[in-house]
Amino acid sequence: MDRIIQLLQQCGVSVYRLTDTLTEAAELYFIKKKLDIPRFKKIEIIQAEIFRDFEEDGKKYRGSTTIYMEQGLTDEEIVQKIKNAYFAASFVKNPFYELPAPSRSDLVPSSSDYKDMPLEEAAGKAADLFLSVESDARAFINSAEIFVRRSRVRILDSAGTDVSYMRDVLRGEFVAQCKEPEDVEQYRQFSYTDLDLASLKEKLEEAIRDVRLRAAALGAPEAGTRSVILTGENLRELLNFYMARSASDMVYPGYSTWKEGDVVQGEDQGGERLNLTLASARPFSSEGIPMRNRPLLRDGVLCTVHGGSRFAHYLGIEPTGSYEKVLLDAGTMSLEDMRKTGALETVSFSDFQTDEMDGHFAGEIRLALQRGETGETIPLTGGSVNGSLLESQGRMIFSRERYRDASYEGPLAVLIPDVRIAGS
Amino acid sequence: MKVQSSPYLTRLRPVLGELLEQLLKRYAYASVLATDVETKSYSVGRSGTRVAEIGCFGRRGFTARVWKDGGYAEYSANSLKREDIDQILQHFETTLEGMSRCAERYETPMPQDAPAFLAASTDYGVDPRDLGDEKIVDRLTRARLSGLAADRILIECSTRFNYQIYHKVFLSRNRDLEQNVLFTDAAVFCLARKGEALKDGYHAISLLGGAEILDGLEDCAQKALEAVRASLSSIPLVPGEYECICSPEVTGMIVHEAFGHGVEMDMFVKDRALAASYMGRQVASELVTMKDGASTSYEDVATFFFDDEGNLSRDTVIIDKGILVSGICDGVSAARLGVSPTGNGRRESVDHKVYTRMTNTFFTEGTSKPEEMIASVKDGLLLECPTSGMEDPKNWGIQCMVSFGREIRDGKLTGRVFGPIVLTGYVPDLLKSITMISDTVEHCGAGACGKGWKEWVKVSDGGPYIKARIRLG
Repeated sequence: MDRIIQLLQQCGVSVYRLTDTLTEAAELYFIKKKLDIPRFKKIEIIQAEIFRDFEEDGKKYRGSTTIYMEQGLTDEEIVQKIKNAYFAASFVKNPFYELPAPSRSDLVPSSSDYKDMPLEEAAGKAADLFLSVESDARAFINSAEIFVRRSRVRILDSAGTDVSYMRDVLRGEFVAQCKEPEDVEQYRQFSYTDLDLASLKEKLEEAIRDVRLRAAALGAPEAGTRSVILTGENLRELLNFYMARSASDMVYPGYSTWKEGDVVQGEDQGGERLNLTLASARPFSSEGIPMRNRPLLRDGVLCTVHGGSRFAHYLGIEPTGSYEKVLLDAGTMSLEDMRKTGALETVSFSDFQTDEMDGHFAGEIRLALQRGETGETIPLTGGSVNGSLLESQGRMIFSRERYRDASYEGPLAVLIPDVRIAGS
Repeated sequence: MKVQSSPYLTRLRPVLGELLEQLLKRYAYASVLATDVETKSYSVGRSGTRVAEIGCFGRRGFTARVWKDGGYAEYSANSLKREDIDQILQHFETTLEGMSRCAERYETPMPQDAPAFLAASTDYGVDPRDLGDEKIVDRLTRARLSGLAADRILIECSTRFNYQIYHKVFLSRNRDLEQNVLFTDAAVFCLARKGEALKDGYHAISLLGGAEILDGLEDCAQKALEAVRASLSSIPLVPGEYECICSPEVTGMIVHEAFGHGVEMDMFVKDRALAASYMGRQVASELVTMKDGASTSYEDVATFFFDDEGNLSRDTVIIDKGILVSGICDGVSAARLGVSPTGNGRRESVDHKVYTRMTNTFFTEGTSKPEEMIASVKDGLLLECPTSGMEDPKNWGIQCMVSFGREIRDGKLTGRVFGPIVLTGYVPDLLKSITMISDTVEHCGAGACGKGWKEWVKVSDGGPYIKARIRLG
């Protein structure tokens, strides 16, 4: 960093932000219970944002460009990159804005419970869990990928910010397979900041249970319009609409008309009002802004427009940094009571998506459960759901049961009325 | 003009050679892949102007791979100096050896290493670096303003341009390969308000070449504007099975998502692909021929000379007149399956694992004219503007989404538009229902393809207009 700062000054660059990220990772890939390949990597990248202030017709502008530098670059190459970037910044005619207020800290240690463990040892413990999960010849883990990453991040800018922190993440994905009566699979991702083997075990067991159900699925649900239950990461995907629409990079260009104090959940139509909280998943934002939990929605009313310094400056609001995790405080009905309403319980999709532009949500059903007339559970597969959050948001009911992963904590399930189903 | 070699990789070659030599003293097989990547992205919109290097798809770095006693291991880093070699050897001998003991290894034969020597570069017309940042930003700004002026309904008409110049060197005991590639893409994104909702229209173009692609921006803006107008007038569709004409972009999405992922043969190794049991069988109408390859005649962003395991690129026929004849394969999976690699082993960047990945994937042309195809539909839809798709190699389920479909009644477009629309169903049912294929092929590689939800690589896909029966929701 010191060498790059010297070279920046040598090139006449007085406003800059540097982010030095050193990541080490141990990776294990499995095919059934056999090791496909072990990998280890060590990557250090310095991201430099180079700013250039200029005036035209009495108006101040601040252009910027971003470049990346590795350890192997020579001084001549770095100087050339900086000069090119500084030149390019003069064509980026963005209205002037301030860098965030200076922030300083010693290295903030990782909050992870495996922060002192060698990465390969943590990966080995996760692998042991995969190898020991209860399965049989009919239903088992087909393949898995385990990534244990440790990053040291330092963010430094010309306005005086100098913060650094450590972060550990255990993440990966796996596929559960059931051979009979139909040969089918279920895909799952996981991401934890702790070596949360208990949650991972639960996810593995759920996947094995779900894939058995999918193997016995009796075809697609009946086409029509009906209530649908979304769970876990699909419920989190639905909430992305509120995260995105309230972000300053959507508000400033006018894509979103939301402002603090607006009722953004629409009319109350007998559903639960949303209480969402932006949760800090790391100590500092990418600009070095100290992150803390902030209310996003209270009873469906927008409390915070969130984002980085540039759009915050333009909008005249406090820069908050960008958030990747959200908490939802809601839940009045048990999942069992939701099922009793006759709603279609969607367990997994091939790819469930919510369009942040128009609130439309949709996905092809990999597994859904339907409560039969005598109370039995009927597994279904195929067809799709296709709905509009703008039409449904006033009538959503959330479960009392909870769910937690690296990007969401809140109710496990939501009941949404009048969703179009394409099926048999 | 040809893309020139990377001075950095030229400088690094002796160190790469020394690392390889040390590894070969310890392992029966070793290889080193090194990259030098230069990328830049430009965008102009209401949020302002942005010029930045692209963070993904890698920069400089290397991956060393070794094989010993039936198992592989890899170490990646983005800095390599002569004095690092001992530490890298130690990583292989301690860390990775230790990790290898966590489970029984998946027994794999040593990879093919037949002699191959190559130094090749792609062609371009205008080097974006020569055109310069000022002129590129100016071209994007003018296209944006012209788009906005075309229709007052627009609240946004943003434009973007990306280029990537990559250089790769692959060394093993018997191979010494170098390639230098430049590709570009550009897009226009239009946005209009419909009540509380926003409706968008998007059109993108791509090129194995340079900044000459910017000549297509105005046409791109026109198509994006047409798309947003259609989205604005769209109404929900009654779910059901429809007779459909798919535009080349929608055909490309079906080719790639619905079928292409299913013939990636690393999925055969894992018993995750239904296609493995359909080799030699009919999976599509006899009108359908499907190809994939980094060296096909349809050059695009995924054209290259060798893959990330040092296997030379090929042109693979996957479906021949409706019969599934071949999958596509990376080197490790090929060794496990006892087949030849097809040059489809690709990494997101040098620090990621290799998987079997598509390159340029498409249906070949037929004999019909698009207007004849529309005229042949009694009651159906012309599907346009694909937005996303997801693979299901195991069960050949389809999930593809398009922004809208234009109603066709008695062989004519009525002007009514439905959307957004989800395509579902069983892949062979859709492919076997194809009754007409147009006589021209279009392809595009403006986006990136993931393996599941990660491992992004540049691909292109496309094909002709096709007529098929599809379940829509």
